[in-house]
Amino acid sequence: MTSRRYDPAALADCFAELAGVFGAPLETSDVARLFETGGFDALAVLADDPRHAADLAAAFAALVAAGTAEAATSRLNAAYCGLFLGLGGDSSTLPIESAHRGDGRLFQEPVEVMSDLLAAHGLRPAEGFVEPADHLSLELALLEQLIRLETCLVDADEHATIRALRLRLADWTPGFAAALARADRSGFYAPLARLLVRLLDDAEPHFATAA
Amino acid sequence: MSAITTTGLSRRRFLSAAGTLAVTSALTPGLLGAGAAGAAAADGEILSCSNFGAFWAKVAAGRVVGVRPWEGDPHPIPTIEGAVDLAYSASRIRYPMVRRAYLEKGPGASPETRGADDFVRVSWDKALDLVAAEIKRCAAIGPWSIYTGSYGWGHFGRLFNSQTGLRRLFNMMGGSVNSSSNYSKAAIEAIMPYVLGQIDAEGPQTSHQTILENTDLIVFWASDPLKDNHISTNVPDHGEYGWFEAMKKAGKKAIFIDPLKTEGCKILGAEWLPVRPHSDVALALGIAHTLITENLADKKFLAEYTTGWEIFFDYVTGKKDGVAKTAEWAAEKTEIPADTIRDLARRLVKGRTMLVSGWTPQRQQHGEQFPWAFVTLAAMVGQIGLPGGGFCQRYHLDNAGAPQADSPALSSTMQAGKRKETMPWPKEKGTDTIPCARIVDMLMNPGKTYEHNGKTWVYPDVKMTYWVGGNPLHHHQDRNRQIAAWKKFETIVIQDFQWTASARFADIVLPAATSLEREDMEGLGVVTRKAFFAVRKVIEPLYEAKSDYAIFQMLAEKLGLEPAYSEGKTELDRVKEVYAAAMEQAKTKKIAMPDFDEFWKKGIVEFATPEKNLRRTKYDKFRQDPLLNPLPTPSGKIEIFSKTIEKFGYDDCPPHPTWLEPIEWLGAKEKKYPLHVNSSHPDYRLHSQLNGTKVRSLYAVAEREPCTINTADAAARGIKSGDVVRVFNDRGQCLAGAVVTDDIRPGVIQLQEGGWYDPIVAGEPNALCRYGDVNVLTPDIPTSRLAQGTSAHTCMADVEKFKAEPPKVMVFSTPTNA
Repeated sequence: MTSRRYDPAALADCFAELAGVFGAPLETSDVARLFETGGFDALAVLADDPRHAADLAAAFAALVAAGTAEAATSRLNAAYCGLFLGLGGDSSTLPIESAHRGDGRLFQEPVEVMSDLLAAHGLRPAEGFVEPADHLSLELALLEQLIRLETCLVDADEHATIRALRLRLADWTPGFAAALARADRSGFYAPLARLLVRLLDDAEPHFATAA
Repeated sequence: MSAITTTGLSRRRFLSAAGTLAVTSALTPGLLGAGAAGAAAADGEILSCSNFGAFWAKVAAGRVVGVRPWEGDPHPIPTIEGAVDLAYSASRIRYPMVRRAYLEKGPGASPETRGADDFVRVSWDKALDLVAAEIKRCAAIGPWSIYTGSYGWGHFGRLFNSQTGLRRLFNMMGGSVNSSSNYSKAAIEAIMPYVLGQIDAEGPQTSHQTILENTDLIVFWASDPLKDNHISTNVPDHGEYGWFEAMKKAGKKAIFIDPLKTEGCKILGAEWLPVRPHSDVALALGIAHTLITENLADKKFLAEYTTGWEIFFDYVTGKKDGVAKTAEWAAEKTEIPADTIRDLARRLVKGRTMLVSGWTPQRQQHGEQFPWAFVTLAAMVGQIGLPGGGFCQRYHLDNAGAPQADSPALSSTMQAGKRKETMPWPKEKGTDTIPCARIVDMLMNPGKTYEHNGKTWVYPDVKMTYWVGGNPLHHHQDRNRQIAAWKKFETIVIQDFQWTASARFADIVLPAATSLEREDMEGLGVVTRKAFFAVRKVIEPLYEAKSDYAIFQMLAEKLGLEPAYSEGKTELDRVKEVYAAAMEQAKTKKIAMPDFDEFWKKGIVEFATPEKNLRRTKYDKFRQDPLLNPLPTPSGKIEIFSKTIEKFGYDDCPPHPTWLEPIEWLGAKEKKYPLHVNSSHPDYRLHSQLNGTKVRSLYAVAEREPCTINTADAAARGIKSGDVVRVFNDRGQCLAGAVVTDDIRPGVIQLQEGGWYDPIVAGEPNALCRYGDVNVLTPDIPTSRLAQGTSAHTCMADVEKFKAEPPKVMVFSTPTNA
């Protein structure tokens, strides 16, 4: 299956939604909305691609299998805490770049790189988000922001940064997705991680060359 | 759920696509906020320290990017990186968390789901509201309903021992039930005051130099000085290794009586007597019998310095019970040949002999008996108080034979204080202190009586516990019994920095800062006292972790106990107080110390060790004149027979050293399981600390705790090194990774304590532990009514090759509920 081209704003929306999925446990209101709408928000645009559709369907099926929004929230929260919040401890399931570099110790070189990158753009993690700067959600959130800037502002030239950041993400997220494929028994996060890896690949032609 | 999961993050904003942006400073949706990153600590190397040693932490942009041992450490250990990995470990507790059922239904909600239920992240405010409400509820019932025994090593640092802080808080609230003694040497602590008038197994011992210069033969009996000295309650000085090198160079004769051939035995090229576990008292008695029958016992010493010798003599010779404790009698129990026992007895008195014991034989049923028999044997040899002779019960910890520097003592300004008497504490409501190893008995028997050290007490009916800096689901024995009893708690609060098994089985989990993330100070060497280290904040607290001090302050605020709790002092204020108190002492002793600012800047103040302190002989003054320098026993002498213990009438702790057959051991005529389980201290951990760090890669086998097994035992079971094995008995079962070796005697396996409990089905009776927590196998029985200590080393089991597909270890990876 070959990659496809996306509207940059839609791509940014997708990265934003994925940042949200991996950034904090879904709350009941979030899950209830997914139940009501019968699918994901921005990611729904990917459903016409059979490669993504299968993963979206799998994630959604895992969600509704719980029966109610409350039960699904509980199940996903348990998975989130175990996989991403330290109740586990297996670095390979952490949505943190350092965990997938070198010896896997957290707070290593990628934190410095991302901190510098955020600072260079006048940014920092929002209040209440105290994960390391190389957390997947921060990297995706920054990618989303840069794509929007690049798309909307005539005088913005973030092309090289976007390309580097996408490359960075594309480099470490496959290991993360593979770990989730092994360890995520909720059935929700693993397909979305798989989708993320594919989406980052799909995005490559958009930013492969200088603008 | 939105109302209770007040984490500070807005998922609605997160999920909404941001609009187009006009300027970079407007990039503030979701996770990103505008503004520069928070100031990081200065780049460079910062001297810091831990229970594993002192080290230089290389800091760059607020992160520790490298660790190298402090150059003053004569023998840095490989686990030093673990001190940093504790902060960066993937198993770090990051946020205040509450078990879902507890959050939704309150205290006592579905305790059977602990360990399986999921946790919900909450704000600090919410978490502390829940804790404060529960403390108030229980305090209104009575202080007997709150258990703050909180056994463990606490969090590192002198200033703010986390358990002191905890007890101070609860004392101000009206009190709580605490714990006494420890899982390390409870039997010694109970029996030695009757024998020597003091615990003995603590503080400075006969010095290494004195041994080097005077001792002809050193006998290490269940003692492994090169293992436990890698850690310490303060900063270990690692000086024990140098002593062994010096003994090797001097060609010192040594014998190791141990089921395992230890590193020290190999270094010294020593003789190894692989005694049958649990038969140490029998061996001591067999030696004693030889000393008596061959007229080798020092009768003069026994007459002048001991009481009760005649009664013991009658017991050993069989006058009392018709059983002479001959070398043959002992050989049958110990599997050490009678000739070897006799020869050993003769060699003990041939020259100057130092008898050295560890603590394993007293962590057994009737564990009081071995230390007593050991000291009695030393008395029979008659060299107590002579240079290089006598006995020592603490060479394996804190480098206790090292010379002491001229330095002030390091105290603490934080006091637990006394219970504020908000209400009477009637006797029928139970005791305010239980022996720490009786916690499960307490939970299972509220209101019932138990005996301890000559008195009768009542178990209180506790409803909540607050545990800080400890991991009871590692320390305690018979995990399945404990898990069942744990349901009695209506509320369990755990304050820690790692997702230990205890945290996983809690209701409310509070993320504590590691010592890298707060300010404190600590001494180098419990005995050597060679330096003070500044424990400076190397990095900012990660995630939402807070120092224990800050957590207790916030909780005190919610309980209306501030500023009385903190006295308006910051952590640094208290560090300065500790330092000032030390300076006052130093002035008196005419010891030079820099002012606090200079100390804090440099990170260390070192003290000189004078030449005169090199040599030290324990009990020398007692030997010189037992009338002027009596022991603090009723007779002023070593009590081989204790009239006080006789009055207690304990059949499980007779009034003189006695062989008592345990409930299970290799020598039993009928035994269900064929292998003794040795659950000694770990080579690479401090109990369970560091098990959740990268240090695990130094020792794990098949990703599990190593299970050392003799070659013959392994062959009989088709086991080879690297295999996953199942270790099991009637109390529980766990998996482990086999290490096949002849360095352990046949019939014995070793599975070191401290492996994190990893049940395949949390809360299920007899659940298979996937990682290798040995305490699923050990019995939860007391040593005796005297000490009520742990009997972890009274344990039989069997091993088999695990032929099925081994389940993935989850305690360091995905939790069972994911």
